[in-house]
Amino acid sequence: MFRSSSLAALVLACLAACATPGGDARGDPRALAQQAINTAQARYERSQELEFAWRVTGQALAQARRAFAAEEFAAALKHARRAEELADLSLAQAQREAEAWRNRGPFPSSN
Amino acid sequence: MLFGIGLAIAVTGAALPAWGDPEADRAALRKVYEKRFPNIPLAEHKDGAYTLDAGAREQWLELEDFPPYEIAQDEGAELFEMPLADGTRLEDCLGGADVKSDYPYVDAERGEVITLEMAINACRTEHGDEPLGYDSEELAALMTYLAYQIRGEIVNVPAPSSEAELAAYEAGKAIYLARRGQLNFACVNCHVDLVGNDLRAERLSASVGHATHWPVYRLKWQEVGTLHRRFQECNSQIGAEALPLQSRSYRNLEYFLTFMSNGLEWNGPSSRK
Repeated sequence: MFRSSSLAALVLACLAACATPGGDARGDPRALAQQAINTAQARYERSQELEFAWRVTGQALAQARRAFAAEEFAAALKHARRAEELADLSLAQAQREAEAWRNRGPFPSSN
Repeated sequence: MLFGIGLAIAVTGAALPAWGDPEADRAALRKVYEKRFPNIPLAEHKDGAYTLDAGAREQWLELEDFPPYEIAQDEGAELFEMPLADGTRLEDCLGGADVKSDYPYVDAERGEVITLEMAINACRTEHGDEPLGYDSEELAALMTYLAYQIRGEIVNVPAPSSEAELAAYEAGKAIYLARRGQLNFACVNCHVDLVGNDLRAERLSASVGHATHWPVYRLKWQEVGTLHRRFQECNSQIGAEALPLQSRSYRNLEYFLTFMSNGLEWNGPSSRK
C-alpha cells in the first residue's frame, strides 16, 4: 500500500513538473509551446534593452501567442522558435555593432 | 551581463575612454558631399532630397506656396501665448521665442542632451501644467511656431569639448554608424554611401541638413511631425524597432546631426512628401 501510494505521488509530481512552463516540457505540446514562447520573449526583451530589437521578432512572438491562445500548439511552437531565432540574430547584430561602427563612415576619429 | 554592460557603454557612449575630434568628423563629412556633388554648394543641402532631385524640388516649391504647416504654426503661436497654470508665460520661462537655435545642448550636470521639446515640458511642469506628449499635436505645433522664429539663422552648435558633450556626441555618432534592423542598415549606409541614389521612389539626402528643417508637414503623415518621429520611421523602414520619442539615443543622434549641420540655415518648418 505504502509503495503504490508513493509511486502514485511520484507520477503526479512528475506530471506537474512537466506541465509547468520552464520545466521539462517533453511530450506536452502546450508546455513545449509555452516554454518556447518564454525563451523567445526573454531574448526579445534583451534585444530591446540593447536597442537592437527587430520588428519581425515581435511579430513572430505575437503570432506564437495567438496560436497558443487558439490552442494550436504546434503552430505556436513554430512561431516561437522563429521568434527566438530572429531575436538571436538581432543580439548577434548588437554584439557585432558594439565595435563595428567604429570602422564605418568617413569620420577620421572613430577608430 | 558583461556583454550587456560592454555594449551599453559602446552604444550609449556612457563611458568611452577616448574621444574623437568632432570638428575633424564634420570636415570629413562635408568633404564627402562636396566631392560627390561638386556643383552643389554645401549649404544647399538644407533642403534635403529636394536639393538633389530637380523634379521633386519643383513640386515641393509649389507646395510651399501654400505651406501645409501654416495651421500648425498658428496653433503653436496661440499655445505659446497661453499662460501656464501659474500665469507664467512660456516665453519668459524659455527665455524668448527665438530660442530653438540654442537646442540641443548638453547639460553637464545631468550628463545628457536637452532638446527644446524637453525644455518646453520642463517649463510646463515647473509652472503647474501637465507635460505635453512627445507625440502630441500641441507639441508639434509649438515646435513649428518656434522653428519659424529662427528661420534664416545659421546652425552653430558649439563644438563638443567637455566630457559630457563628447560622450553625447560619440554616442550619437555610434547610433549614426551602427547597423540595425533586419535589413542591417546604418544611417551612414543610406545618407553617405548611397547619397543621391534612389531607394524605391525616394532620393537619398545628405546628412548635413538633416536637422535644419524640422518640424515637417509630411503628406504621408497628413500632419506636422518632429525630427524624432522621422528617426522612428527610418528605424522602422530598416526593420528595427523604433526607440521612444525623446529617448536618450535619439537625443544623442539629434545632437550629432545638428552639429554636422553647422553653417547651414535653420529652415524649418517645412514640408515633405
